[in-house]
Amino acid sequence: MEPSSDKSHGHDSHDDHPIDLAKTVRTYLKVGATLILFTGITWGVALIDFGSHAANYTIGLSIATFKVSLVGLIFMHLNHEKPLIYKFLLFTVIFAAAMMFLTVLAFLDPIKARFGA
Amino acid sequence: MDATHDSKHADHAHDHGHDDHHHPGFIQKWIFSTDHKMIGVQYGVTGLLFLALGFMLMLVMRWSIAHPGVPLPGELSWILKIFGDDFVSRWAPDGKVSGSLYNMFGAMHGTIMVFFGVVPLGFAAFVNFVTPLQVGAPDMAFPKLNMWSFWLFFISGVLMVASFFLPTGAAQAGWTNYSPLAATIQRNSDSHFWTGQTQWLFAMVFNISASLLGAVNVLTTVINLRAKGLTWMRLPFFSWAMFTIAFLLLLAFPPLEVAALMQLCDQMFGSSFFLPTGLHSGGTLVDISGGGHPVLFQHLFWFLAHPEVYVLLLPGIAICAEIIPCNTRKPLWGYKSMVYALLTLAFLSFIVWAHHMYLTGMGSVVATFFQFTTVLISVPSVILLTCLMLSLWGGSIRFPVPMLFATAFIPMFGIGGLTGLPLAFTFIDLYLHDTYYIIAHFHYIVAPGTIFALFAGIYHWYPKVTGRKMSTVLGHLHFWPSLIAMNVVFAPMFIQGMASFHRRWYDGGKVFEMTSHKYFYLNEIISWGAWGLGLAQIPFIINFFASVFTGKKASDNPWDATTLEWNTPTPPPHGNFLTEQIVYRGPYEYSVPGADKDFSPQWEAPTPAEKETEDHAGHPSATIAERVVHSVEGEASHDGDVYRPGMSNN
Amino acid sequence: MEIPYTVSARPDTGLYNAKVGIWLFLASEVMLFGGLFSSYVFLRIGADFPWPFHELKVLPGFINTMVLIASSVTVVAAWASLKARRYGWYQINMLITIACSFAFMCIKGYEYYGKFTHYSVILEDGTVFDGHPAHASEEHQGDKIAFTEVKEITLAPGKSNLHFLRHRRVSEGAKPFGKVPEGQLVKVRLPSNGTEIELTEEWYKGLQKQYWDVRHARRDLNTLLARIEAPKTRADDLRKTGEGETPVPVDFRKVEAFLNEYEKLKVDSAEKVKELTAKVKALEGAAPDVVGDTLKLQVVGNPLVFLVGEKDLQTYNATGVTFRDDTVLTGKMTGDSIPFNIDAIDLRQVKKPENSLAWKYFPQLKEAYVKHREEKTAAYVQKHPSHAGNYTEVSDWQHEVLRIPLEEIMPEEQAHEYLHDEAHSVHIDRADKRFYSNFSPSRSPYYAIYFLMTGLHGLHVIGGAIVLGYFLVTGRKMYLNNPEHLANRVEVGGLFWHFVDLVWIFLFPVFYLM
Repeated sequence: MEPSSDKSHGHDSHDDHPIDLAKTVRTYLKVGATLILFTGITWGVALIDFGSHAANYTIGLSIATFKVSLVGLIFMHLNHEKPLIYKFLLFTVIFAAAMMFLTVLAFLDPIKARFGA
Repeated sequence: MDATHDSKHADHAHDHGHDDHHHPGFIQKWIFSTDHKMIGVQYGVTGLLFLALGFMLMLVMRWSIAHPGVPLPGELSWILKIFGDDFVSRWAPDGKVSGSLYNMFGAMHGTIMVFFGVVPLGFAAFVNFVTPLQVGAPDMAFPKLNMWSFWLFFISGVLMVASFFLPTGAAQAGWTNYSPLAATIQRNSDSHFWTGQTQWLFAMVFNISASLLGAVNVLTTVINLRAKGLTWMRLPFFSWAMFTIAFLLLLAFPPLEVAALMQLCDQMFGSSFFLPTGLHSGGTLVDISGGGHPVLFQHLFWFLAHPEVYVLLLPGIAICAEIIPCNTRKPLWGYKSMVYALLTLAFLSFIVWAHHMYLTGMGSVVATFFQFTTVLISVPSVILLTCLMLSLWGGSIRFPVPMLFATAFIPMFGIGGLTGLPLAFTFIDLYLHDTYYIIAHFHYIVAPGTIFALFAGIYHWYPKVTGRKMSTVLGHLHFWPSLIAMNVVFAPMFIQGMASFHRRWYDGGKVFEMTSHKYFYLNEIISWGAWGLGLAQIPFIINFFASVFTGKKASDNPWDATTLEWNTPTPPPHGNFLTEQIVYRGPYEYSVPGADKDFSPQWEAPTPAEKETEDHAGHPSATIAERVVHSVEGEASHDGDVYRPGMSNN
Repeated sequence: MEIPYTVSARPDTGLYNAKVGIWLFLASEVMLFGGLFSSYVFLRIGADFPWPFHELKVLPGFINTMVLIASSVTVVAAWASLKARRYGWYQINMLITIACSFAFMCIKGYEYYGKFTHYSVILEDGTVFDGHPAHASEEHQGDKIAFTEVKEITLAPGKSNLHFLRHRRVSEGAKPFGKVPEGQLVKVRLPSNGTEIELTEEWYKGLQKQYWDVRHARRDLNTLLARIEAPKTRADDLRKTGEGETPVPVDFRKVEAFLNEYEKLKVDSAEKVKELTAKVKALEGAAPDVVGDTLKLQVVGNPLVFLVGEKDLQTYNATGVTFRDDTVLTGKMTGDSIPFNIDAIDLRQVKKPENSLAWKYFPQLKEAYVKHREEKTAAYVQKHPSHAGNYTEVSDWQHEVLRIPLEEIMPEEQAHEYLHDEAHSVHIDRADKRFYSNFSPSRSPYYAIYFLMTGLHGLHVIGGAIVLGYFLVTGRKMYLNNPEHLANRVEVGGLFWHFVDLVWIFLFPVFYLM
């Protein structure tokens, strides 16, 4: 099935890079395979003890972060997005991080630790 | 081939599907409308009704504080009667305001005023009506979403009001709804779903979803639908502020949604997100697993609620930033610094939230951090207020009713802001926390502050909405008594607060031995102020409804203003503008040297005479300055912000 | 004017409206899940109970991760197909995506079911039994209390309703707690005049109406009386400000005036008071049952039987239960124990594990526990020599040693019997029980946040599938008309879908592996 021709509606005339379907999909499949591979690795790594909980979690979350970046960069096209969107996301990430770390920071109290509650 | 060309094609294709929009039926036009102007009016009217409801709840509370143990007099008992006979018999079986009733009204007064009154009116109504016009857009970017946003908000309002009629009554744990009180106060009721506390949460989930949809819509509209030539630094400050508020809502509301869902889970499924181990209620151990954290709720709540403070007050500043230049006939002083201050304020507002929580026993490190950021945030606030104040300097000021309210906003908001400074410090806050000092502080910001500005906005844009002006006589009758009554209400609260009157005493402190009797008499004076404030709104209500029919006919640009919303027919038709808008200049070009009149609207190209003056005077207005910057490579650049034609006259 | 940039991009931003919109929406979604992850971290760091880890089966989560990744590939391929104007490929890819979402939700449902049918009893000393209630019959469903010989029902017409009747049972032969046959009503005797009536909603509504009529009349009278008293109250209050720690001078003329007003009001209102009093008396006389706040009803005929979950009650004891709506039943509590089969014992919250209540119920297992503890501890200390002195403080040791799945201390078949054979069940005294719950949000903040986060994620999956399904079903017309518009829609829907995938990529390690 083919859509109506270009002359009736100028739909994709601004698309400077006509898409090579086979090539693009091959890339996506490769990324998908990498993601599944690393999911397996996360599971495998979780069975190994790296000495401390902190180390285990850091390694586990690093792999997850790597996977998330793949999804973001390739599937969500963040590797070539418009500047405006990076600006939104930058602030969003800053505020989300502030929320996470400042709330947890509330557990830290050097005065209590030194002189007791 | 370029994108503009393409867009014409695509939009033309789009046209055919939209023909039916031009002849909407009654329901489509008045109720399920997708037109941003109608939605704005819907938000405005709903918001005003909620403001009235919140105000009436407060009158009942004020009676109880001034005259504890005395039944409501006939002049006030009608407020209870509108809730029905059963309600009165249940909650005021001897005509007196019971503690539970006071708690219920207190919680609902706060909730309704913040989430159903001021934000829907100040943000949703004004942004919907004004911003698309001001950026030269035919409508919001997503009109259907806009309609959904309003109706989700409406449902949330209905749920909130309906909760009064449940056997448990409405929520009674304060507008902040802190756990564990919120989770235990109505635990002993047959259904955990049909309780005021649970319905409060449901209503909030709807309200938050509505806000998120609205915020996405506003941001997309400002980003993508600005008229040709309307660069960011030509955007009126009003739209800048609304854009920023939408960002605050977009990013700050989700954590409250999380908190609401968690508390809902605590109420309905017996989980313990916010309930600690060993929690007792009414002397018995509550049958829960425990292990949760009450403080987590406060973190999530205030992560929203502090930015929400700015959502409450920025519309006020935004409206004044339009009205003041228009009535001083000179540019807004320091437009650029105001924009940067606004963005800084918005950024900082996300990292000050825990100054509401100094008393929770959170760590001293984090308390110090928040103390620091809180003091820091006063800088941009002061910049904003100072710019508004300096905008008055040297102007030939005219005082129509909107300008009265706008000028009153400045000192009133100033009092509110300055009295907040001491509260930023942990050691002072320990003493003043939860006293009337706090009540006075934030009410000065929101009531004589924001709400005055909202009145200003209503008087200012009313001619554009209805095509008629509001009555000036009634406006004066509204303004002067309101100004006096507001101060009678809130100024004495500072004194009471410093005498440590607690904010949640339903009897004004009567049963507490340690209360300072010296300041009891203020309770009555404040309440008299409240009755007066109520009466002062009557001229406004008459004015608001009657002027639709009897007001003086207004022209398209009755205030001789410069921004794009005044370039539409009055009232604006569906699709707003008759032709595509092109913007040639900055938003506040009043009294431009060389121009033939004292205002140069954004849609008018610079005249040859203006260009002449610009070349010779070297003190051009903001956007002309920009052009100069581009041509002369920065020679006049730094002055452009400060020296305006209005100033140079002095 | 029409809204521009619905399909094509605005030149200076390079974006069409929907794309700006979806990224803004995703930003708020980041904050939503950011708030949830922050809560997770906060709850975990602040937990005063052993935070469960490795308690979820990894395999279903692993499969679900793969399912979502696959769907992410297909949804982006669907968009690419549209860009290349290959509608057939678009349909296939979209179909797979939606099929994946179904698979995901089915697996999720399977996992949830397993949790909801798994129970815990936490005993007073902190011992935890995991397992499930023994017997499938209704009377032994977990923490339900059997309450028999009920001869008296006390209602509070201002608050309670008749929902307690849902918990009524009848004994029929072998079944002591059978369902109440349709139409078999409860007959009670009214305290005022001894009339016998049937307990129906209709009757109760009438009674409640009478109740409120009396209350309204009383309210009017009380309000009037309080208004008469008001000047006196004010005079007293005024006088009181002259006493206490911070006295202020009292204006005695004002006090006098108030007192005079009081005397005058008393005289003036006497008539009205009389009238209202008569009205109250008349209403009370017509409905003597609602004069008091509660109404005691005597059951006529056979005493009643109730089977009611603890969560529906405010309080209970051997002779009475109080429902959450203040309805009180007086009778006799029977069977106050919880029959339970176990699959694990958790001693981490017990001060002295060797004295745990677990050994009261399973004395035969104590020996195996001691052996298990010694073996595991030896292995642990060998592996972590640095913890040799303080291993009891270490959460890993506690997790390995004090949390004891039965199959670790006995052969698998025997463990199976403990869980499924009634002969191995125990009857836990209600007095020993502190908390009883299935593995639902109420079990602990860990399960609460697990269900909340995965549940919200699941709702996103369902919502996304509906939107993508809509694009699939209605896409053809738009494709023929303006394929770029459809491609844009699929791109926007796809962005949401990838975000949902992205959240899951974090959820999987956080809940299943850590």
